Amino acid sequence: MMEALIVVSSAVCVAAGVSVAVMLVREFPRLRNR
Amino acid sequence: MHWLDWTVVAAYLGVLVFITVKARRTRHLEDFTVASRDMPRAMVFATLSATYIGPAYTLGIAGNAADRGYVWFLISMMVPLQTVLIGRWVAPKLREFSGCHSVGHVMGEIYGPAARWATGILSFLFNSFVVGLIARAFGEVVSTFTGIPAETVIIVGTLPVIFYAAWGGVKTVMLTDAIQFAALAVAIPSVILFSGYLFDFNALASRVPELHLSWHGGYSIPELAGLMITFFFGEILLPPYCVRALAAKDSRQAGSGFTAAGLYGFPWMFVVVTIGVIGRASLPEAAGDTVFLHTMQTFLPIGILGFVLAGIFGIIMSSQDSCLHSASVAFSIDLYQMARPQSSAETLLKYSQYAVGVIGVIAVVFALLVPGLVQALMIVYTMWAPTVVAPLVIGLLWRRAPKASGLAAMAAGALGAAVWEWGLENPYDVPSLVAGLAANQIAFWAVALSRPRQVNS
Repeated sequence: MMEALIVVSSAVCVAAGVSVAVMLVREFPRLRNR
Repeated sequence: MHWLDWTVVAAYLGVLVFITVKARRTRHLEDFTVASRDMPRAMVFATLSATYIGPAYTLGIAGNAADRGYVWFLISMMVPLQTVLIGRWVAPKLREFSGCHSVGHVMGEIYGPAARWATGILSFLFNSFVVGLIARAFGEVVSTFTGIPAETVIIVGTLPVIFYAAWGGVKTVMLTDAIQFAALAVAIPSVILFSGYLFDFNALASRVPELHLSWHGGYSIPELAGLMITFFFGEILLPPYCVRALAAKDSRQAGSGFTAAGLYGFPWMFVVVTIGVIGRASLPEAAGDTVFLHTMQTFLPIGILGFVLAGIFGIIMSSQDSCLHSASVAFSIDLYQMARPQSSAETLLKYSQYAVGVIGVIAVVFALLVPGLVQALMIVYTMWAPTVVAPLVIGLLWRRAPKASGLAAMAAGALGAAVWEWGLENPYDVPSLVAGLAANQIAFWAVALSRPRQVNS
């Protein structure tokens, strides 16, 4: 049970980080200062 | 540290400089203060997560988990829990104040100019203090790895943050936050992977006291309740978080961005607490805020250590820049503009940028004087939560809240918390935050029920 929680928590953290990096690359030109 | 680790850290800092330059200098007040109110929910999620995950919720929580075990997940999960609730009920309402630049500005719209002054002063002091606190953490981290005196690191390490916060305003702060979030989210869990305990919890459990696996960790029920209440209320609607709601594209994106950031906090806190427990199992002599760092040093191979250190830099800088920005906006929008209402947007932008530099210097002075992290954060909580939070939430949910109630609540909350903390020294183990909130609410409703209703515009 605890092993599964640790693995899933770590995987969620990493997946969120990768998703944000991809989003930033795609959206950056639109998001910067005018 | 190996030269390869330093190369990774240098590459990371290079990416931050690149982002800062490419994000361009800010030329409009709305860009500087609220990012043109154009941030999608994914950005609200990333920047809010990066901001509230500061050194206290990484190094501080891991140190406490090393001392008491998994009970610190129960305590620390109060922070993501309140963030989810704010996302569901409050952040969308906050975004509806589409002419406001700061939390003080919103309080002024609800309760009048005096509330704006009071919130502005508190917000300015609070954020300046937190910037200093975080600078101290930065100094300790780098000093642990390099042997360079913490004081030198504090002075030199705060300069790039001052530069990019003044240069690009909150847009640069948010864009660098997103990079920092990506770094910390990927890097920190790798400590568990390289420790060898990722797929072997039984081995970890056998090397820590049984108390570390219990739900109470040896705390009495009142102690545990006090800690949970403090963590739940302590960080609700801090000024940098309110800015994320005001900067969202619309109310729905503000709410869903906050909710997602809150949901993310649950696995994050579990990972950090687990690293603290691993630290206890592997390095029983380590204690306090350095447990996390020594665990990193023990398990991470060359190259990966630099990557995780870059993640720690991200944790520190993303919180520091946001507080620095909020302090500068509190000065220019809530204080300077109140003193000189005819000021143009250009003047306010100029003073916001100057304020970043001045506050950065004040923060460095604070940083050279502040002791432990979580303890210092508790003192900061004592100042903010009992004054602004409850009237703000009530005012957002109940637009007809009487103006005098807000002011009475703020005064009573500050007085109640101060007397309980420093006069009575927290009797019955009840935190001053709770006593202050109680005084705040008694005063709010006493005034609200005794006065004829005054409908706000």
